Amino acid sequence: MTNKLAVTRRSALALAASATALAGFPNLVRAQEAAVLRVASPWEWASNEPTDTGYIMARMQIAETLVMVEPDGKLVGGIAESWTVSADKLTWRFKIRSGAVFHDGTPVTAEAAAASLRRSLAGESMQQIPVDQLTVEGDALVLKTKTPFSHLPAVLVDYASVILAPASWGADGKVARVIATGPFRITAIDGKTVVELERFDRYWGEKPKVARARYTAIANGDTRTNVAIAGDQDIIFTTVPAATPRIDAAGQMKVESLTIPRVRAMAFNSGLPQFADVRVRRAINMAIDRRGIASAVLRHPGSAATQLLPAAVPAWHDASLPAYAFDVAGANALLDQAGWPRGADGVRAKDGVRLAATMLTIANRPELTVMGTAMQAQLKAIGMELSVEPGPSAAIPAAIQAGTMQMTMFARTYVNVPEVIATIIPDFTRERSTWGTLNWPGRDRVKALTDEYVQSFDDARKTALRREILKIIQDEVPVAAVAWFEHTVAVNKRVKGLVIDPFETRYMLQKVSLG
Amino acid sequence: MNGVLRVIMLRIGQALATAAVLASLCFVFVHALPGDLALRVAAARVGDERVTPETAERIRREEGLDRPLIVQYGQWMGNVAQGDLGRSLLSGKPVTQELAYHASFTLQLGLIGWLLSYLIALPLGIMAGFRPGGIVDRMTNALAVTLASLPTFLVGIGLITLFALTLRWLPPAGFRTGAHMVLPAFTLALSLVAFSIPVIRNAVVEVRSAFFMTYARVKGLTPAAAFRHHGVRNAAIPVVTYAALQFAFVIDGFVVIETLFNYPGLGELLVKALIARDVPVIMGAGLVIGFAFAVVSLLADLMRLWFDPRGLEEARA
Repeated sequence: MTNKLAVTRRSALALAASATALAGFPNLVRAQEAAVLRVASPWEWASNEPTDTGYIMARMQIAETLVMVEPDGKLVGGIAESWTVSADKLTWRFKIRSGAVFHDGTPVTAEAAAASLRRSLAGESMQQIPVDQLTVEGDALVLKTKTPFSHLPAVLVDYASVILAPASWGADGKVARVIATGPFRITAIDGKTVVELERFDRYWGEKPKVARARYTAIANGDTRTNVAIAGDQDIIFTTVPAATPRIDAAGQMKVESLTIPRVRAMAFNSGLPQFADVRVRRAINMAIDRRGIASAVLRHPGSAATQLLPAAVPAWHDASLPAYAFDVAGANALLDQAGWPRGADGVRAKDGVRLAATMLTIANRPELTVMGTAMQAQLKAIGMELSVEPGPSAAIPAAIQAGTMQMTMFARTYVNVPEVIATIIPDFTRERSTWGTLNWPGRDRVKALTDEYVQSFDDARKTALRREILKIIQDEVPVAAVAWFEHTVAVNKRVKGLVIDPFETRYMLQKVSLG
Repeated sequence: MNGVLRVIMLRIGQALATAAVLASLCFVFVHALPGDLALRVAAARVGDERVTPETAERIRREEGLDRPLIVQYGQWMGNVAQGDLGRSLLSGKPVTQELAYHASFTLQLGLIGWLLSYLIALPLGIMAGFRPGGIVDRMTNALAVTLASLPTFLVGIGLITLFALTLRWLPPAGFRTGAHMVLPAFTLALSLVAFSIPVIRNAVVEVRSAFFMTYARVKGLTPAAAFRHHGVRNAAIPVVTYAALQFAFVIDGFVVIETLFNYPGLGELLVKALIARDVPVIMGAGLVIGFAFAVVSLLADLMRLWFDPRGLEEARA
């Protein structure tokens, strides 16, 4: 009997030890360094290459581009302190900022900037620039274009063109160490998840108020929500919209949101018999209850799109355009008129072709699939059969390549560079665009307009051209915005002075202080 | 003892062969998946929105993905023979470096979770086994069934909700401090405990009803002394085998726990590599995990021999 008890006592001791271990940990949580600005977002530091992770380098203000954009959309000098264009509009001179130094203490020279830019120009995103030659003249970088290219400074905001010091590259031509010019420099990189930063005291511009910062990638949305509820970070970018009430209620962080020029859009293969007629595309567009989707799925009625882009990009938002209409009766009438009668199963058909499609969506944007299924139900009312197929994002370019794409729904930012034209060109003027039109005959008209726009330096003319482009897209619906994006940022109550950049190029951390 | 050494060498040889076959199967399966591999790699590298057919072509060219598959496979095998597992298509880092980094985290958490699980399961299992059908047995059985039926992520979310979000004792995610390890380790431990408690309990029950235990009691030992002297060693045989198997399962990562706790383990690396079709990482992981699995099971066999030396005779033979 005594021995039986002894076993039990031993077990009880083991249990007690575990419980004590558990109870002993609380204080470790508080052991966090109070002076470190902790920033989290979903994206991992996968490599040191600017084409791959340049957006993290730019957002965390580790690396900078020649030209930068302010949150109000104004282009300002970055590594280039100023720029001019010649009378024939072909030669641009970017004067390199005097006194700017790289994180290793070496001066930023025009030669160094040119060497870095040459590498970026080889990348796909910079290939839109009709470069003739890139040379150095004194303290200036001279870029000659073959044809006038009015939005060159805006394209140079592209994160792929961040300027790195010559010592950054290894013998294999890859970036071995990120030695850049921003207000923060890297002190350590822990895997793909954590980047430790310190204030760069020789920074040329406004110096950060915090001495240390840490970037953490948290890929999973639910985990970001938990971290926000616990207040375990200072700023968390891109929180899950549906979690906002829970995060706010926990009282550690507050979610701030801002409508940004990122769009959840649907695109048609306009070459298919069921989508070739503009009336069909219009009818489908009219059958979508955007407000319902924005309220029920996105929990933000203001996200319902009325045209391609929100007012956050005033230049590309035409308030005079009639908004997308929600009119099921009108949509049905339009389809009747276009000669698509309903079949016995309720689905319309014409010349043996059913008004049906498979819409590919992106699985890692879960709301797109929910929006797609809502649209599936709504389109039934006009006799269209829609199936929704979520998949990896690469499935969309793959389907376009294979010629099997019928409809897609995706998320697209129009300010990869702060001039929307740079996104309109690849998306609306090509026969096959990945995130835009497919086999759309209207592309030639848009191309004529964008060609003129790119070469024009006349603001009034450019305004007229923008309106014309937006009108064609709104009328012919080769692509239609369903909902705009709310950029959601959870901010810890100890953070003061955060400015949210709708262009998502910089986190503006230099303005942040910790209370 | 020479016989044992021969068996060990043979088993290591078998492990290497198994690992090579596993890695080769990975190569075949990844290439059999539908879709353009270069396009997937490109999307993972430059981001969904920036991927263009031109990017995919550049990566295809740069990484030699346009070469015939047999050439790619042959070169990989040749390099592996020289100890070079290649570079990740995603990060450009050597695969060995990637695997070592993530494996260190998985081993750390895996070992803690695994030890913790036996710290919980051993006393409970032994107590239950001492009184089959008793209150402890019924309670631990209920606990094991409940834990086994709960998906791991639910256990994790439950622990996070209680200890991180409500009591605010522990951080909800991360890996930088000891505090970050507690919740994922407990989540892992609880998911392992569900299956190890019944194994331990049954082993104890079986040993206690064995003839040699009755004999030990008859010669005058108390139940506890009999169990200590004759029971533990015998009951340990199935438990050690099972524990080793559990540990082998743990070493290839625990994706759900890693994702939930933002923990950079092997499971997460593998899932991301699969999505991105990062062939060198997938094959390297197949090779290393396959080998580690075989080595752990070899160690389990050796432990069993230590507990029950009768097997040595067979090995010598």
